[in-house]
Amino acid sequence: MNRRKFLGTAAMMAAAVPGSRMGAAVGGLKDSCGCDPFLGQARDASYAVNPNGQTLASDAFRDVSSGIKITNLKVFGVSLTPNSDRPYVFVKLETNQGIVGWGEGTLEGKAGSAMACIQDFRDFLIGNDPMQVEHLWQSMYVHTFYRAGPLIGSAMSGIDQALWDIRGKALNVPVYKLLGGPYDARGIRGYYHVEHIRTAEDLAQLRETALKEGVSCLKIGLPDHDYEWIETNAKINRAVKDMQRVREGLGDSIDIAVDFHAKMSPAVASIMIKEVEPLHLLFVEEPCPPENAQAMARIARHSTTPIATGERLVAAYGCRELIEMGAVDILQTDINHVGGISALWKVAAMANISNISMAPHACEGPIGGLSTLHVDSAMPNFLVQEICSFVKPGEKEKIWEEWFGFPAMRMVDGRVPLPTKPGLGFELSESALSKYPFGGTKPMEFVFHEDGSVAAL
Amino acid sequence: MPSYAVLQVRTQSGLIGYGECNGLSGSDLKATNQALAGKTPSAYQALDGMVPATVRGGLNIALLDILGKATQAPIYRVLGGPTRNKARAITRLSGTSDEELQSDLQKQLAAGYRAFLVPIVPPAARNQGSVFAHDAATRLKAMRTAAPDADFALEAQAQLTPGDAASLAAAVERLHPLWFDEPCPVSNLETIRKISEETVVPLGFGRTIADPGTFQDLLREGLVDLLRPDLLTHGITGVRRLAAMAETYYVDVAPWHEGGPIAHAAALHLGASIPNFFIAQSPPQSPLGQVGGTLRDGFFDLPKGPGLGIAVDEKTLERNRIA
Repeated sequence: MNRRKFLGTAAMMAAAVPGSRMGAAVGGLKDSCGCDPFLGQARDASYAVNPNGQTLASDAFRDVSSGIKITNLKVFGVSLTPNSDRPYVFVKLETNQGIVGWGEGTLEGKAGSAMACIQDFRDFLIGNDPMQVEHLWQSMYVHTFYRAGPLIGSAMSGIDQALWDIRGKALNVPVYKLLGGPYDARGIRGYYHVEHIRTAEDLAQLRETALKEGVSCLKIGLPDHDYEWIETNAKINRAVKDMQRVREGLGDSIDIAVDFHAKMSPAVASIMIKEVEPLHLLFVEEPCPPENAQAMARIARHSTTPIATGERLVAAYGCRELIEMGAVDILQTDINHVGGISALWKVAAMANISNISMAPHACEGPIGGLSTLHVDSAMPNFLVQEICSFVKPGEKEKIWEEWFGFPAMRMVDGRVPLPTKPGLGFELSESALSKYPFGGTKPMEFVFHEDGSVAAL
Repeated sequence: MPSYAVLQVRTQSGLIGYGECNGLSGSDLKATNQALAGKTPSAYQALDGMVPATVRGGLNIALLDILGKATQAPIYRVLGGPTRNKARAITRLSGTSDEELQSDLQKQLAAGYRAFLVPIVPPAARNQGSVFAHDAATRLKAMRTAAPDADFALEAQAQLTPGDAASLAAAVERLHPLWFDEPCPVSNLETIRKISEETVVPLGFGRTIADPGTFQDLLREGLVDLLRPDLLTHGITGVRRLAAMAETYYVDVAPWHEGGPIAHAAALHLGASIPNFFIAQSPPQSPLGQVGGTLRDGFFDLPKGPGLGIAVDEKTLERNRIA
């Protein structure tokens, strides 16, 4: 394996001189908005260099420090297949006491940016106390100035998970105990995806396997690849019939969720959701794109079918409007984008005040998945956990098991068992990952309408 | 002499956790014992719904005390803090006359406080408007003159009409009080809107609010600038959950309680575990001893020991036991 490529971003960033942030804090000329007019020019030594190699944050907390310090930050791009559009972006934090923490900041289609963004947070971390996750989270969010979108949110998510992993290990308890869980010691109820099979025989067999294994919920997609913002009778009927067939095939004892994947408009989504109301779906996911809470609320108010959204929202700030409007029934916050364990916990706490349920998304790698389980177990408003896999495990699950030594994110009797080891609950070696070198950033799917115009993927 | 409802939780492994409640009935205590026997103490969130509402806040504090002791870490470290290295302090001035208040102000300044809650005595009759407001403003001005570097919050204990509260707020807003605490009861939120729209004095509400949804209404409608949830009703975790919501409205939290040293220590841990903490109010002196660290130039030191980080002497508790 090409080690340079594997650690490419880390090596590149390590060469950069840290300290420009410190420079601003230490002194020097600044204009009225706090900018340094000499940025990029030669400066005197006292400006850029912090004599102890420490940040101001760790100095301020000397009297209440845990004694643990972050000594190194490593970023790994991991492509299970060379062309993967979502290479896992893993973060490893090392400390002066030998404890290491792992986290995940995978951002689909933007792996290189996510890796670089994590490295951009290096100066926020090295030399600081990893136990102060809330403080470091705030620093990453607030001192970033522009707040967080999906890229910064994903980078922070990876770092946040790694910090929680360290804290759990340092305190010798699994993370869910730090959060006050579990509500259910048997584990976390999850749902698998259904491959695009729609024959009566396939569905009957799926039903049998699911019931035998205790799987109580499954999620399907829509039959067509693209939808316009106004749709034809034929395509609406095809989607409705497809959902009806699945309900008939799976019966009433399995909950069915349908992912609309934000492929359509509120107008078209409202028609479809009204048509499938008699199917008593568990929820319809992302019936329209996520930025417009009013549009989402309009769909939700047209139907008794529960509406779920939220996988693309970042930080509790990004979820506030949906929650205070009571626009949706279920939030699908993604621990790899929202800002990690800290942010997922806050979103769930805020959602609970509005009696909104949580069905967290997790369609990236296994570290984010395992992190989510800990938070799920301490949510009073937890509904179900997405497992981006099928009833029958595939290649991906084999690799995960090879990494962790246990079948990560697989259900037993319909529940994913809670990790019991301290921290996030696993050991992971860098050499295990090195078999799957970073294949580079690959775009997600390009989808176009019949006339060549851009369609949602 | 103040009295407290101290909750003690014992684990099989011999750890003892302490919490405080706003009074406890024998039947609630019995129900709690039945619900918790044999349960894992670390599940402080999951156990919350199994006990009577009167017990929840105190139980949460006691279970976090145990979790901290079990992990050998202060509660704020268990919860991902500290977010700050000390906690801003405020104390309530005692007295009703100008002379009494001024005298206590000097005493508390010498003790190290730099922020003070000034009690607002409601007028003898309702809706006194400008006369009442003028008197309160005069009193606050005199305090400012006596202690130019100190800060003041006004505390009306929910005893004013919205009209009197708005008049008072308008009269003092150029004096920049830290905030106006519980100007009127939280009932019809539209009456609170009157105060928040007519003045820019920050408003604090929360000591009587048990339902988190009411806090959400206040935040959503822009009627509150400082959350004052009762720590013994909501517990450390309940207040953290409210703080998570308040953060998205850029609103700070200053926990309120009428407890003693255990509640005070809990307030300091809470403050060091959330980003949007503002201030902790000192409880009256207690027979249970020194509370939650030294006061230095307007700030409390954070407790450093495991759990709550305070030594509760069982013998002292027994000696002072009243029920």
